[in-house]
Amino acid sequence: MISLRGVGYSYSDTGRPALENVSFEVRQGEWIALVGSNGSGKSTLAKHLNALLVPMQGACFILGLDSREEENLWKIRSSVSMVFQNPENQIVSTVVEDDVAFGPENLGLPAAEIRRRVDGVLKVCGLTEKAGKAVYTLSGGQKQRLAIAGALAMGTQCLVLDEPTAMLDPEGRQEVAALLRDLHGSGITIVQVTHRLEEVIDADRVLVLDQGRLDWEGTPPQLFRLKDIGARWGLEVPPIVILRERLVAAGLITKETPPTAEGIGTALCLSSSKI
Amino acid sequence: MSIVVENLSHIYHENTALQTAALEGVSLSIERARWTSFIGHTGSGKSTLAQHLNAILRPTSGSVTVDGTAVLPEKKRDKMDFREIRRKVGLIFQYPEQQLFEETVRDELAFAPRNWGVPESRIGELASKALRAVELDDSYLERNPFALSGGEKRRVAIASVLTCAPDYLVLDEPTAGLDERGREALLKLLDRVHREGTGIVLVTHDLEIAFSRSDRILVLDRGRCAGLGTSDEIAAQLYRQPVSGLVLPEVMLTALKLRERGLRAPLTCDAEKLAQALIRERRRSR
Repeated sequence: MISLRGVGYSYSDTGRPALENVSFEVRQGEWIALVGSNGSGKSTLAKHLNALLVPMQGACFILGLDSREEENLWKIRSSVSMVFQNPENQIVSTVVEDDVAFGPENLGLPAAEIRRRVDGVLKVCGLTEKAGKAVYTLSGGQKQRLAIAGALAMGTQCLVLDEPTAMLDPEGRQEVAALLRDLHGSGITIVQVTHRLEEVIDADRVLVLDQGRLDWEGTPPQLFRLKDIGARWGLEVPPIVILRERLVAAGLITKETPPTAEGIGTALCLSSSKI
Repeated sequence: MSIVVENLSHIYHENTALQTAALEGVSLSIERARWTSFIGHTGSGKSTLAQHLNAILRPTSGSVTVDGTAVLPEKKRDKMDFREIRRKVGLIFQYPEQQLFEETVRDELAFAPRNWGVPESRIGELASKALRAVELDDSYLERNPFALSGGEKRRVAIASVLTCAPDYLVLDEPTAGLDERGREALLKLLDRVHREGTGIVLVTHDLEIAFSRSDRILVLDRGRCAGLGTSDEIAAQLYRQPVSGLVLPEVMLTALKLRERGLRAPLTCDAEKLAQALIRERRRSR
């Protein structure tokens, strides 16, 4: 779906490059988590995935299209959508369904098709009841789901989300996480940038960026088995995630158990009453 | 060897319109061999209490004695042995990097020993030793402290207190504003200082640090003692009666929830420890 080959990028002629020789593939339907501390280059990398930035060295192919060729931009951006940290910055209308319809209208689609898409994505994102409501009445989590709905209405096949939960409260974070799980289940490719490791548990693969280089790649359980995540990358694995990993590995709880005290407590009591 | 706080009250701006009671009737004994933590919400009085321990603040009523030397009330300050108290108790404020003022790290580290009258010939050795304790080397001695990174500045500031080898080290939110790497390095440093015989008094709202290391925890709530006990006792108490602004770490909360539902679980913040205990318990019951 997306292929990066030796990508390098610098914001200035002097100083350290923001990205250096980064290569990886994103396969159709995969969920990739891109993690790293502040300044590791993860946002810069995310912006290459739908050609908001183009490589200075190497190349980035999206659906086989070279992002350096300007005539490819339209096709690239209609199949890969970015969702940013602050939902406020990407909502353009004052009414929920108008905002979702904005993209499809610009595609020049017939009214009936627009209606069908808007209703469809609002349902997927759990916002059907909010269709006619003013955007300002939504919570942070609902606004971020609206931003995702807007991207889906464009018929996107791949979502690139840059710290989509950074500005949300715990409840909003869980709503967005649940939506991403649903979308992944329905075949959407997901690239999620985050520094909160409790959010990578559902990903198929985790890529760790450090000082602009791809430093590690593996599955979430492999990542959580590493001992030196803090010292090596300045990332923190929340202890509750470690607890959950160990209990899942030992078969005491299922891998659907959320990484919370309540979730693990309930799952353990259920499984112990079964014996 | 202990700091004894008895029925301590502190009122800011007493007898003015701005009068505020920051501490009311707090008592505890801080043993040098122990790690003691003060926890509480913003405004609970924990920093005010910490600043009494080396006589930066003086009691409005009640008493504080450091290994027998009294921190006297303001009106008796002329009779107080400041030198003895300050030599015994080193205080590191929140954001200690703001205390830096010299042109080189060497002068920064030499400042306190010079004031104590340590001969110049010994100061270099003390400075090097303190730098090593915070995992910096002698190449830092000639550097300008203001040109260091945030984490390095903090370590130099801490080293400048360690040069005097205090018997007790009081730290007010020392991990605030540090990233994970800086936080782990600082905790490792404190663990070592503690092992080598310095009493640690930690003011924090990071309950994970407090529960994982403290021998004794004091809970402050609006200037009053809302709990004093071991980590296990305080965790169980906060679970039964939450104190606003104090959120139990998730792993410990899991253990408390399991206990409440009749399962056996150790009270710990350590995920590996809890996981192993639960797995063992499950094997046993099969």
